[in-house]
Amino acid sequence: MSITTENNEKMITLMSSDGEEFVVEEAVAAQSQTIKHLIEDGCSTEGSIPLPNVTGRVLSEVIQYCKKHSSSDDKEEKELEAWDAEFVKAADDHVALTDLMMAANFLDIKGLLDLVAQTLANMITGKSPEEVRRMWNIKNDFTPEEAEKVRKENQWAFE
Amino acid sequence: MSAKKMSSSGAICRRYGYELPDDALRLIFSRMCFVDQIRLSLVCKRWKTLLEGEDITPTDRLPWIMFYGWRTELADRKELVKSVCKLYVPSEKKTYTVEDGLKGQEDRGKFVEAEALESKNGWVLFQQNSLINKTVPMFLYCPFTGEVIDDLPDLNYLAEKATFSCSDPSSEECVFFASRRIIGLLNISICRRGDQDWKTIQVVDPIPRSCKRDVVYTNGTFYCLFDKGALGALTVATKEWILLFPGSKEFSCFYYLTDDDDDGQLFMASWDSPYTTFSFDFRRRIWVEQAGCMDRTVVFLGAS
Repeated sequence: MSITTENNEKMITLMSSDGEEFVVEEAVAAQSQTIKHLIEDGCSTEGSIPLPNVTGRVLSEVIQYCKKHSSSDDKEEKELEAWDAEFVKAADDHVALTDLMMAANFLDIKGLLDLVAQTLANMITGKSPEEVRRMWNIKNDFTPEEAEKVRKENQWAFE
Repeated sequence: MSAKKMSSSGAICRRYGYELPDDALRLIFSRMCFVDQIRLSLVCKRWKTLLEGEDITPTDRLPWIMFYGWRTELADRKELVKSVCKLYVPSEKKTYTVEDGLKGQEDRGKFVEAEALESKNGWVLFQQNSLINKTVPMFLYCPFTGEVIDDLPDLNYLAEKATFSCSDPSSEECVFFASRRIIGLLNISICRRGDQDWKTIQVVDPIPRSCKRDVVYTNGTFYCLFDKGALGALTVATKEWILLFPGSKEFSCFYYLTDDDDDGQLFMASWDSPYTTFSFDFRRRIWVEQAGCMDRTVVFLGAS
């Protein structure tokens, strides 16, 4: 399904995992390498592009990011940086950021990936392994002996 | 790839809960500093494996300062090595103790009297500063892990200058470089790990009695800077030495040589004021002064 606007911009429809549809300009959607390749392969003419990994809530955030970044040129770098900072701040917590990271990874949007990766890295800097495990619900699969060995390898860093 | 195919392969990405795919975790890890990376390798086995991967480099590439000292001591009638190695992180103003105590000869014997020649990406290249059997053993030490690499061949002279090509000297690809001046001539040697010998060539010393010399590796070539801006190049593949610039009186002060990771450019920076920087024009074979402050380029003098 491809619609054309007054400006002769090609529009495409993205469908989230929970069935929500988003109609966006092709230039906006093509910031995702994954979608860009699908369009190039002619998949967009068959109808809307289904994105089975991304919920409507996350997809709307991703589109917001892509819109901002496709409409700004280099001159507005400072403004864009400020916008990015607000954008990740609005994502609020590590759960929302992780969802964004998963979506950016799947959709292959480099700028967004870098932005969210940096925010998550800042978030876990200085945290103990136990705190990080709790954040992401990660199971500690080291036996006490193995953990001791890891600690010994770089004893100086754990003091 | 059709949309249908994608939906089936996409489903694999989301395993359970918040489990981020490897690529995404790598992106996060490479934005963290070294100590944090080590600490978080204790989170789970998957993280440890990813964090130990070669593609993860820490953000803090500021120089760490290593204090070291090794000497033999008699304890319980046995000769032991008093071993001290500390790391200081200027940005954190923090000192980490790596080694401090008595160790057996087999562990640290080779460190006694050894002299550090070069440090790069967490590895320190040492030479034993005593001419046992007229050969000089060389070895590498990583203070962060305590690892030692000692399968380098012995050199048959004491090196004045030595370095290595790769960021990871434990790789087979890494080429080691050593040199020393011998009355008007210059010994230049290269080798790889596991080689029987160093391959040594003798070339005319472009600036005899030159006291400051710097070596950097870029694009398959070791570039050597001498006094007066003289610049020589040793191509590793062909073992050919070319004098690119014979030196000129206008470059009277001491300079540092540094390269640009991205495009193989060479820069020469004076080591005291006036702080001028030159880049090397390979086509015309001359040093060209960089006008004003180099745009966005920061040259860290003597950092490793």
